[in-house]
Amino acid sequence: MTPEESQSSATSAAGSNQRRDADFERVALPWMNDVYRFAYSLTRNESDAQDLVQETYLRAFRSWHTFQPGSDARRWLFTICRNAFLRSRERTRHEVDLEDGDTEALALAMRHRDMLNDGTDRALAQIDLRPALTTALEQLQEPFRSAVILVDVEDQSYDAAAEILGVPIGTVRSRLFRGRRQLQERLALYARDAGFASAATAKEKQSDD
Amino acid sequence: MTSTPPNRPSIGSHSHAGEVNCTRAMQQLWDFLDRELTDEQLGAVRRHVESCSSCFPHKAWAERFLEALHSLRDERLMPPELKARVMEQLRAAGYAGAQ
Repeated sequence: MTPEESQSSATSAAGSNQRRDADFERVALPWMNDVYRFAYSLTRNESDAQDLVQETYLRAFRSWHTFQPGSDARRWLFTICRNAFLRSRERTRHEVDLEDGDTEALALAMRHRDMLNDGTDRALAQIDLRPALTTALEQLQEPFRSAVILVDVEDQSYDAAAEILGVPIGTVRSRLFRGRRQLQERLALYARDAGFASAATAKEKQSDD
Repeated sequence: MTSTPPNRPSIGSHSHAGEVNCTRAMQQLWDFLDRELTDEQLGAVRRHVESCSSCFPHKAWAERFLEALHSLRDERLMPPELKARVMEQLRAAGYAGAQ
């Protein structure tokens, strides 16, 4: 409390605005890069992503009173961002029904078994995955892309991603696993294109004998 | 699209506490790596994949894959002028913070 506290209600209103702004600065602003990455994953376009970040922060500031102090600010910002994006597109997508997550997960393991057998795994072991993944992620389609970005890049839990995307957890899970499977398919192609797979297979045949 | 077998256990359930077979371990591999299981389930999957020569390579690959994916965080940074534009707009909306 300051000596000025007894002065006028205008002063205390100013004080509460100051607190609000300081909280907003401390809690919400540091995540701008993360919001930008997520916005980019939705818009796939730098200029639209920038507009979306501005819209997100403006909305966040105006509804700052609804933010629960101590809760996950990134999750809150991502949710606002997603909603702003949907509203800007004026679309409600009816997503195709997916196979369930367990089936996707098993399919991934089986796919990787093939990669172990045909030498792709060995080829992948020799390369830097990042450049290939960057391209693969750019090409990954929605709704798989948002799920992968939120969980794998932005560390959101399944529960948080479900809330942000407005879908059940099971849907996040199956989208995520399907997205990972598609990324791995592209990595396998990348490794093969790089010419490593055939060499690795040849070596494998020798060593298996 | 295939339908779900009626007797397939859901994510949260398990038939035998503390033990999973290869199929179940692979169904739960990503949940395991994402820490989306109960402690008991995590332990069961961990014990299986650490000791099963068939499942272990899948886990090793999945870990490397996720690590590489996560490292992409550092690759897409916002353009430097965006921050200034956001701040300008916030000020117009009444924000008066230090930044």
